[in-house]
Amino acid sequence: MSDQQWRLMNPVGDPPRAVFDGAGRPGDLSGKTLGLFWNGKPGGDVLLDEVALCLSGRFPGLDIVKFWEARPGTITAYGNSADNLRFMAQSADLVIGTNAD
Amino acid sequence: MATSNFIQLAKSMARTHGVPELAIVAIPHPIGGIVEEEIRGKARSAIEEIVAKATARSHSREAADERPEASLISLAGSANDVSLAFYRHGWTDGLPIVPPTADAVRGMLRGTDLPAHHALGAMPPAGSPVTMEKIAVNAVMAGCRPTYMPVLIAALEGMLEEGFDLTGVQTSTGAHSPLLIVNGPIRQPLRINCSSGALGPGWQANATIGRAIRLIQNNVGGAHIGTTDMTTLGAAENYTYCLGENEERSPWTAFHVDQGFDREDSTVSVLGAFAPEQVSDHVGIRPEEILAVAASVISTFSRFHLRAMDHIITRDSVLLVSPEHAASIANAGWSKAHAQAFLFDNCRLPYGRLKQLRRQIDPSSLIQTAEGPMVPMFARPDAIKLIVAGGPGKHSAYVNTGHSKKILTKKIVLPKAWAQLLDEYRE
Repeated sequence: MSDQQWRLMNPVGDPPRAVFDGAGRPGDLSGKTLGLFWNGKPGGDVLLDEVALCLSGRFPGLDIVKFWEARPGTITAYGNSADNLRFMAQSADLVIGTNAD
Repeated sequence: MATSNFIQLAKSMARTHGVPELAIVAIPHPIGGIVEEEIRGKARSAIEEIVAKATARSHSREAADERPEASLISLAGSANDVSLAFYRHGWTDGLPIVPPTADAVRGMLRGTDLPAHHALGAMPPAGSPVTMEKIAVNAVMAGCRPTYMPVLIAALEGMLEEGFDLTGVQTSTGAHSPLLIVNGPIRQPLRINCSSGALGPGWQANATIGRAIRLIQNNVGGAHIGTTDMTTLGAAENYTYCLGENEERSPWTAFHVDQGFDREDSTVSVLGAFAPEQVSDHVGIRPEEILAVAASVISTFSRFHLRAMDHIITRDSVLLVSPEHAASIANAGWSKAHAQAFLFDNCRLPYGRLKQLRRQIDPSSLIQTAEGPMVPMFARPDAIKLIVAGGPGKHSAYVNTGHSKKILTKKIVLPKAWAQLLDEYRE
C-alpha cells in the first residue's frame, strides 16, 4: 500500500462569477405585449400556442406575438442572431420561450 | 419553459450567462413525439406557475456550482488512488488517468510558447476560460505527450469558433463529438494514424489527443452527462475521435490545401460530428457505383429527425474515403469536385414519404424529378468534404455533422523549441 504524497493540479475550470440583475417583471400582464419564442423543437410551438390561448382571455389588452410567425428566422435551437434577439427584446415587454425535447 | 429532464441544463446555462434568477418553469418531459392534446394539457397544468413567474421576481438565487477552490490538490496514496479520487469527483471519462503533478503539467506546457494563463476563450456550458494550464492538466491526465499540445490548442481554437456551435455539441441529446482530422507534416513525428484502423485503438496520439479534448469538455466546459450534457445514448467516439488524412495514398489534393493552407502547413480540422457510418462496397468499380452506395448511406430519414430541418442541409459533413475507393474514383478521371457533384445530385429523399412522417420541408427546396418531388440532402456540392483515410480495404465512412455549421481548419503553431521537444518525446 503506497502512501505517496501527491500535489496535483486541479483540472476543473473556473466559471465566471458575474451576475446580472434579471429583467424586471410587469406585475400584471394586462395591456402588455408578450412575445413567445419557439426554438423549433417538436411540440414547443403547440405548448406556447396553448399558453397564448390560456392567457389571452385572462388579461385585458394583452397582446401576444408569436415570433415563429412574426419572424420565422427566430426558429432555431442553434443560437439566435443579435438582430433577432434585438427584435424580440424590442417587440415585447416579456418573452416566454421553450427549449428541450 | 423547459421539460423536467432538462432543468439542470437550463439552470446551468442561466448561471453561465450571469442570470441565475431567470424564471424557469418545468414542464413534464417530453413535449416531442406525443399527441397535441397531451402537450396542451401540460401547458394548462403549468399556467399558474407561468403567470406567477412572469409577473413577480423570485428572490431566491440558485447556489453556485459546487467546485473546488484550490488550484492544487493534496492526496496521499498510490497512483491508482489518485485515479479513483479523480473518478469520484467526476473528472475522468471512467478510465484511469495519469496524475497531473505540477512537474508533469510544467512539462506539458513546453508544448506551447503561450503563457499558462493565456485563454483561448470560454467553453460552454460552464463558461470557464480555456487556459493553457487547464489544457495541459487535462492533457497530462489523458496520457498526452507534450508534443501533442500544439494540436490540442489548434483544435480548441476551432471548437471555440461560432460556426462549430460548441454549446450544441456539448449539451445536445444527439451523440456528438468533436472530430479532429490532422493534416500536414506533423502527422509523421507524432505518429498520428492515418491508415489501417485510423479511427480505432492502438495509437497513442489518436487515442490521447481525442481523450484530452473530451476531458477538457467535461472539466473546463462543464459538460456532465445526464445533467448538462444531455446525450441520449452517447457514442464510443465520445472517448476519442481523432485521425489523420492519408495524404500519401490520396489521389487528390490534401484536405488542408482545399481549405486554403500550404501543403507544408500542419493543420487540424474540427467538426462537431456524429459517429461514422460505414460505406462498404467491395463490388463497385466505376465511380458512379461506389458513390451510389455512399449516397444511399447519406440519404436517410434520420437526417430529418426534427420536424423542420431544412437548415441542416446547408452544413458541412465529411465522407472519409478509403484509399482504394479514392483510387477507383480518381482513376476514372474524377476530381473531388466531380465526386461531390455526383453526391449532391444523388443524395435525396422522396418528399411524399417525409411528409407522411410529419416532417416539414420548405417547398422551395424541393427538386422535381420523374419519381416525384425530392428533398436534397445538401444545399451545395462542396458541403460534402472528401477526406482520404484508412488502410487497405473497401470501407469508407460518412460522418454527419452534429450541430457544427462548417468544418473549421486551424494551423498548428509549434513552439520555438519544437525540434528539441520532438527529440525528447518522439516515439
